Amino acid sequence: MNVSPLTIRRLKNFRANKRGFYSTMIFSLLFLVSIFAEFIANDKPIIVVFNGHIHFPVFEKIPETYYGGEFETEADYKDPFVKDLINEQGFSVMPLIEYSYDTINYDLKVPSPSPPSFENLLGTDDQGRDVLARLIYGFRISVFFGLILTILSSIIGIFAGGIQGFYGGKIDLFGQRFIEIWSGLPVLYLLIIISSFIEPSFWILLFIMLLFSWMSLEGVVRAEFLRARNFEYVKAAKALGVRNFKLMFKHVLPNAMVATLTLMPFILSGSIATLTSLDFLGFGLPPGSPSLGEMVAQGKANLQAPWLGLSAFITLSLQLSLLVFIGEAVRDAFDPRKVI
Amino acid sequence: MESLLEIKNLGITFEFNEQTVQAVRDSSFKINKGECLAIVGESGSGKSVTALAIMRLIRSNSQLRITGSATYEKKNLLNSDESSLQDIRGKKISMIFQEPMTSLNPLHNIEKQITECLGFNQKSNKSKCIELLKEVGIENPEQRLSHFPHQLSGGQRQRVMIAMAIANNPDLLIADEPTTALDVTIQKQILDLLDKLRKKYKMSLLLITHDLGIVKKISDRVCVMEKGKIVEQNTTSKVFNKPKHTYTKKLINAKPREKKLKKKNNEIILSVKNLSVYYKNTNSFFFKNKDDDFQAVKNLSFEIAKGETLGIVGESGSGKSSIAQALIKLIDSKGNFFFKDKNISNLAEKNFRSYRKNIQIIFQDPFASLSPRLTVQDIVSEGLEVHNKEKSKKEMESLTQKIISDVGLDSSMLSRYPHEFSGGQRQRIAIARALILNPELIILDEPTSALDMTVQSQIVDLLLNLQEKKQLTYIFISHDLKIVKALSDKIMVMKSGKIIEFEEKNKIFLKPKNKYTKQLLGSAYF
Repeated sequence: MNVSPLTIRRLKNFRANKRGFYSTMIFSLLFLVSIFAEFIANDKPIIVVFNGHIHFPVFEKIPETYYGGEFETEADYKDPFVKDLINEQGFSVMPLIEYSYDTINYDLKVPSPSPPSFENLLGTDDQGRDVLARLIYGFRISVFFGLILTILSSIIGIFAGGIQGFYGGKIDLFGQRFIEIWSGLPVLYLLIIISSFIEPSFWILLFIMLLFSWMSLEGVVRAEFLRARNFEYVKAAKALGVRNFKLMFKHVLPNAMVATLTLMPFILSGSIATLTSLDFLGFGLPPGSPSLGEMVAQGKANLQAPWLGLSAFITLSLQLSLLVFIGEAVRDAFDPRKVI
Repeated sequence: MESLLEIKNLGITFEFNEQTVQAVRDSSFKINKGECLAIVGESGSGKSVTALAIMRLIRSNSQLRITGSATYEKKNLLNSDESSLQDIRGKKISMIFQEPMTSLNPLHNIEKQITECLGFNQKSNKSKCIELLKEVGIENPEQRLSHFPHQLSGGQRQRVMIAMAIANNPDLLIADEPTTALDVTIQKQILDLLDKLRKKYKMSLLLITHDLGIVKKISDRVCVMEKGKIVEQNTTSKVFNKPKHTYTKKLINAKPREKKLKKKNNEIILSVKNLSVYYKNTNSFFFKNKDDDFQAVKNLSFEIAKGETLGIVGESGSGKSSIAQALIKLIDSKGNFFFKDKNISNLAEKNFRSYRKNIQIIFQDPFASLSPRLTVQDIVSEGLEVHNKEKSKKEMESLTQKIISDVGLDSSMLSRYPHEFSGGQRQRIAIARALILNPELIILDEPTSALDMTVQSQIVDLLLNLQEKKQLTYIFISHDLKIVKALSDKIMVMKSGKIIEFEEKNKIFLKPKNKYTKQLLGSAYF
């Protein structure tokens, strides 16, 4: 592969920022782990060998009757009765944490929220659900939300900013006025109103946030395009007869990419923070979903159970600081004046 | 003669990314009282760094090492402390820079900037300011005091810079390429002014330049620098008449070959009728006043025959580049122009696209005209991808290889990126990009003005060879009369959007009719 020396220099710069580099490593590791949350924290076994057949209950629903039980609903693998049935004709391997985000631990010795114990490493919340399991799932959902929102809003922002900056003139003029009005809309109130008559799901929330978050990149990209469209190499390509669309994406965009990439980690951490605050206020993801914001709210409601608030706080602050450190390293990497 | 400043074994080394660059090596020279010493050399030869080091505007740090000594009044400037330097800078030794557009603070008026170097006595300062402005030849100095830099032209700004520099009657004035950014006529005025002031105030002048014409005119002694080393130093007349070092000889003889005039070809390739270019001057979105529009090109008509070169000369702002951009429709224009009898002035972009391969443009700055993120292969073959889509990838590659060797580069360079090349090589790449479509007409918009003298003549040679080989027609835009003289058949002199004189080359140079043409020719140093 032909890697340009510029890219090599940037990677070198990125690595030179030790804090950012290690943050990237830790964040990638955490994210990778949380992707496989179902295999780490679940009330279903990773693998069941029963009657000579191999099953993965994570992917398939197996009724209790299959194992010789009485109900036709999905087997409850935490039930000692089911466990015995399976162990008679095979075996099962449970994940590290035997709770999913919505598994209620009915065998608590103390009323929930229960403090950390060997069974529930970080304790349980006020509905008897395992905090660690909820943290893992909550981390995943917030990172996914942030990533999808960042990618989509970058695409829209680059596109809108590119068109405005490249064509300039009236398109730019009216585009800018539209954005001024659009950005004046109170996003939070809008979300509160909408969530009062439809139950906001992951995708609806994403869509509403997307309607507004694309504007953060748009301005930067527009400015870069406005600057670059008068560069001589763009003019030279135009004189060769290169079409506008290709001009924008082959010649101008790669040079506007620096500003975009630099902003991206910050948009990512911003969208995670927004989702969390919505969840905290109760206007976010549907009730029962594992969300960090909801856990902070529980911590606030149960001050006698500090493990709730503390674990949510530590997870959130770790996640957001890691992203900001990564953002700083990316900014360093693209800084042409940076000397190692 | 008494020496004023003595520089001994000056060495400047840059270190970055584990690379060391010796910008200046073991250079020694001295400046006598009241004399003008010129340092000449190509770009990158270490001229400007030397000046910056004398003024201590750069200092040793982890990435930069300065060795040697610069003795002024028995003090070594290179190791004296900041506070004693402060007494010397601007008072005993002052400096003017190349770019008058950026060397004045845009937020302060002229009075404030000049009084800054004078001290605190408010009342006498104002009269001193007016006196200084008069001295450097600025008209209506009283009114100018309250003006801001953007209200002045380039030449006037450079005059203000000079006024600031001589405010404290310095012993030595360092001028770092003081006229490079200016038009020829203004160049001459500024140099005359510097020379006059030097004699009047008996100060020494250290002139840093790449233009040998200037050196020959005003300097007493010359240091020739090559790659950080002073290779020759002598009195001006000796250097020019009996150059010793091969590099000096190369510099002095770097004159472009001249085009041989041929029989006239009658096939008209481009004819322009009543071309006008307007720049909109809209203050309000809703109310437009057409009279406010700035007319950069005014009703121009001319013709070019196949194989000819039309040279367009004029000061900056005379509308030269506007013509170029209008002809390839990068900006809107009024009037008609015909390419081989076909009116192409009103074609929509879609229909004009097929003509683009016949008319190509090469821009001034080879550093800006190549996209930094594409390889040379991508840059050069881009035109093929637009116009010859049916060609296979292999055919394109072999065509690119052929064209890159036509412009004198090696085909192994194709996979590299533009920043790995020198200015001259980059301009060759830009020429290759234009040539690959086999255009018949090439518009060259100041293609050599960002390049060194020796590289300039190489590019001119290349352009002439290509013209002979491929029967190309050129429109050559420049303010450098020397290069225009070398390349053109006919010359068009422009001033504020109008043709002042349009004649055969020899007639323009030998018998100029117009007053302005005479002035232009008079101010150019050959």
